[in-house]
Amino acid sequence: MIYLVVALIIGAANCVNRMVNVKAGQVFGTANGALINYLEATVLAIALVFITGKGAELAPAHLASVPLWVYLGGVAGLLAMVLIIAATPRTNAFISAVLTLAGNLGMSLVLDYLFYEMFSWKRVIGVCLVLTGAAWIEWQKSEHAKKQK
Amino acid sequence: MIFYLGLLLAGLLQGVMISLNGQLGKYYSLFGITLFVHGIALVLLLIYLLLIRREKIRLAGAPWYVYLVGLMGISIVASSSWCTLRVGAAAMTALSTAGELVAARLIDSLGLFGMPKVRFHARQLPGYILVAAGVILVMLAAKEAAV
Repeated sequence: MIYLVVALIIGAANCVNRMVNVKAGQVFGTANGALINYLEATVLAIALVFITGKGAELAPAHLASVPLWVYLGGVAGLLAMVLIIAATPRTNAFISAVLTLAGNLGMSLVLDYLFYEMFSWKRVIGVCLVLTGAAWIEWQKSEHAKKQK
Repeated sequence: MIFYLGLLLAGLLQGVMISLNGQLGKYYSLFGITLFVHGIALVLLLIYLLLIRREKIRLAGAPWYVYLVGLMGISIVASSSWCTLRVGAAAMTALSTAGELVAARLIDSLGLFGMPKVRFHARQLPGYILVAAGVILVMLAAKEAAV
């Protein structure tokens, strides 16, 4: 249960984080703005790894023992960001939000099955309902914005 | 059309990212995960900025709260990997989407962060009801899986 509540809070934090990242992008430009986020987080993370006494996991032998593909999450995230920045101005905010969320949830369902053998129809239907609801809200928002123009 | 596919692909990649960051948790502590997630992207961005764009990197001169992004980034990556390992990426994404929609609603209604105020409209209500129903189903499924 605690994991589910934390997941909800993470979403709210994501929203705030995005607003602040947009601000950083306005001040420094998109790439330079993102750099501040990654630079600060990397330095803090190194410090926290050592403070929490987990320095041993940065030993070369441990790094090499981890399968390479596990490290590619950050690369996938960066590629996603580039695609969103390139495609959003050529479609619109509504299409962008709904298509990326659909891809994200679809892929998550597939990988949950592959990695954890997690599958239940309740989850699939629940995920589809969240996607439909989010699409509805985004659609109403974009209609409202059009009217104000 | 190609841009629609690009956006869908971006979403797929985000799904891959969330799942793989969860998998990192099998090998590293929470802060170790955040180190790799941010460190790898940092190296790629530095290569892009310094070698391809040949830009001078600027770090000073933003409002104070901009410098909190790194701290927020770490908290978000660490806590989402922690959740993903236990409830799966789909439940994690669905629930955080719901949290995001509620936060966005508050920011719009109150005009936080200097954004223009946008009032709530009754026409949006069915959307929130669908999201809430979805969240309940995902939670029920997670509960069953935990038993």
